[in-house]
Amino acid sequence: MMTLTLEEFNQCISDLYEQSQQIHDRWQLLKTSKGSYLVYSFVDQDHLKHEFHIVYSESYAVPVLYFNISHLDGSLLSLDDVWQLFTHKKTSKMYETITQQEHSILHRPFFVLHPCHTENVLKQVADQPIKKKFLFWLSIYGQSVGLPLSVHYAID
Amino acid sequence: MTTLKFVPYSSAFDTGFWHELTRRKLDIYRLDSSDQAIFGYYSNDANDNMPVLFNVDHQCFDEKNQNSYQQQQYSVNGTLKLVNTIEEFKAFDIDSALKAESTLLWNDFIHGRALVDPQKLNRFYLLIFADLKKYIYHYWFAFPTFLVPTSFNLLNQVQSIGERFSADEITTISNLLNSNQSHACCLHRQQSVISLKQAVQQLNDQPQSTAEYLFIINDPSTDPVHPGWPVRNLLTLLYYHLQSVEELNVICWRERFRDGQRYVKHSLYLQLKPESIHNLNDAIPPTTGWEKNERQRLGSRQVNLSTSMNPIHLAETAVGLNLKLMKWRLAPEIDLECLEQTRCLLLGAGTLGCNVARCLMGWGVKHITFVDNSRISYSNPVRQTLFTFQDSCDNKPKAQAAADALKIIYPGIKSMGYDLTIPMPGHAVGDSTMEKVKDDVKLLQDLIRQHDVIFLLTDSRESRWLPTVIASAEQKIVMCCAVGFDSYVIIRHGVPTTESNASSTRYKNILSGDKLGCYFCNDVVAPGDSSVDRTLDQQCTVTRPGISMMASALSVELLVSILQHPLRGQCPALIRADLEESVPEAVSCLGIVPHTIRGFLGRYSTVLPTGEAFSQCVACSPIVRQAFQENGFSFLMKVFNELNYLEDLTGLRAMQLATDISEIIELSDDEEIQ
Repeated sequence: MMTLTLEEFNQCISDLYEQSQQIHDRWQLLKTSKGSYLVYSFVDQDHLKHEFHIVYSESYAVPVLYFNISHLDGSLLSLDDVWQLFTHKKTSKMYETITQQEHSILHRPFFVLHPCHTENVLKQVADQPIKKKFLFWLSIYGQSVGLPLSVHYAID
Repeated sequence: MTTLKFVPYSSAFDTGFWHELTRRKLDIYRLDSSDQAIFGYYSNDANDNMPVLFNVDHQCFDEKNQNSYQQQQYSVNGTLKLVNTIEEFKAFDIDSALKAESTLLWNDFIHGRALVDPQKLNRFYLLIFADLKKYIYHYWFAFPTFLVPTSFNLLNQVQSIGERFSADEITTISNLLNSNQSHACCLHRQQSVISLKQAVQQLNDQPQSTAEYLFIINDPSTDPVHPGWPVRNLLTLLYYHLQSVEELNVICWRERFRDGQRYVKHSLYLQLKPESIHNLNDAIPPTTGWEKNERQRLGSRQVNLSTSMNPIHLAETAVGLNLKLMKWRLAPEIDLECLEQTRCLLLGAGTLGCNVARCLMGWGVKHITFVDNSRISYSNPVRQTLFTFQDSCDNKPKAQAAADALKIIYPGIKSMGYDLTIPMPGHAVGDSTMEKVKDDVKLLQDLIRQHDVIFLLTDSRESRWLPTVIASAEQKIVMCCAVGFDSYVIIRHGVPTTESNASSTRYKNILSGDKLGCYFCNDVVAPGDSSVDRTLDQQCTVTRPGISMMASALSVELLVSILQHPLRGQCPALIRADLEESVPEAVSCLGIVPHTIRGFLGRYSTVLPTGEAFSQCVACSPIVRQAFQENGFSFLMKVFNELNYLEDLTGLRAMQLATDISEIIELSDDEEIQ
């Protein structure tokens, strides 16, 4: 299966959160009436805050990676500014699929790596256990937008 | 002796904080500007060269969320004051507010509550004014601290714990603090963790044993010599409660985790000489703590969030992004900006006008002007897609109603409506109406000049004559669209060029843009002659409803293709579109750019004939154009009032007279009238 059910998704993010706690990493697990999601944020050397959310997409039945980059006063970078930051990655396919959408739970604008290609990506690990599929997805998508992922997560 | 100096906080907001604040203001607080309890947090795991951040995020409004914070995040209670006007904000009594907040802190200090629960070591005050029309937020943080003691004297220079303790000692300390979640605590003999309260009690009993006590405080600063605000407050607290202690050992605890490994050696070790402040008699000492602004002055800050919160901005961004995605993923050569800047004049705001406008908006066109002289009637809304039943009850003028409807669909549109009757040949103008007609002509002329593309979407043949003449003189792009019961025709008028007849075309199969014909080129009679029944000039209420949508959509798509071509209105058309020969000059990035599209719904078929401009055309021929440019309104008056004037002028009359009816043969589309 190239997709994840909601239960599988919730299990994956729960596991990731547990692991994060153990290695003192910064993932936060937020549970709301509209669904659960994971958040990771850090402030870079230019004092820009990078925020990553892993949310479940019902229509594509896959996880989706939302992100925003903001100044410390909370104002967001525009799409053009974000492109400037990622110019070195122009050659990758990711360039075509960054778009801006309303976060399905928070209802405010986030940049998102469009999930239409996720099934293709997951094809390569179609026969792996769910947790490995999830981590594979996260490492590919996260890496293209600067999400640091410790190698520890790959270790059981 | 050197004195210890501290690094103040830098306030940091999560974007979600502003959204949640706005929501609460609108739904919960409304006009209530009384104090609200909120909380913020700081962490002790920042990287080097980071400012000392004090954070508030979208969870901060609800006390219940305090415990959902994670490791390395330490909560701080505070007060939010959300005022209702900018005047209140500017006139706000910051001294009183700081005093009030500091009093809460001071009371927690002197009554020992902060010793029991070190979370009470810190407080903050946040003053905000939210301008919810412009989405500009004015804010000012205060982090109260006391101005006594006046200095914190160090017995030795500030060191990192790596310089002071051995690796083993650091490991021991680290392990002891592993499961410690409190904001501050104390290590006794580096063997056990005790509370501040216990430490103070024991030290007051035996002040000489002070070397055995290591106070631990989580420190948000990463500066190698200066700790953060919580440390200052801890010292103030301890100096109040400790009696006759000669030396105080403090670790400003800083942690960093990388790949599961913990790094703490950058924590600071302080050895201080305490100065007792116990005899203050519980009166609150002077305080400080308002955050400086970006210019390092005492003043508020502001943040403008309209691009991410103003729905109109958000709509604009989303619509633009949608079109850009199409470009990036499917049609990289497309020029979207030129579409955005193209100003379109729609003559006719009926079935065709409404649908053309909708399609133009889909392409990101921002300037759309409607001209129509009629009002919305009950039969209109089902076919005229910008109007509603209510509009027909109100009998609104169509042009204005259409312009208004566009704004409701997309606020960023620049739409206008003009209630104007287009003067027509064969419709006589008397002396009493002449001035009005003159003004109407002037207005029409001005409108044509101010726009780039003219759509002819009216319900009669003769109403298209004057706009054709003017637009031809002004060298504008004209999209002429006419419908019959089950057929439609779309013609892009030839655009005359000021250059002399340029080089002959290298290809036999194309006709250059200035040689293309107009709506009237195929006629041998002038418009206004109502005795001849033609399919394409009837009042359009008798067409199959789908025809209008098909024709409108095709006109817009053809226009977009024209605009993508480097020659724009001058772009050539293939004479025989069915021929395989590919002619690069006649193609835009969207495909071929035909002159005429004729569709027949009964057969679901389309043909793409190309018509050459007729040298005796009643609308676009040089004779007519010259007469118009030289004689202006007096020429027009003759056209309006004299039945055969145009036919005489162009020589058509002579041609008619010379033609014997019995000699007429069937003309096919691609033959020319010489």
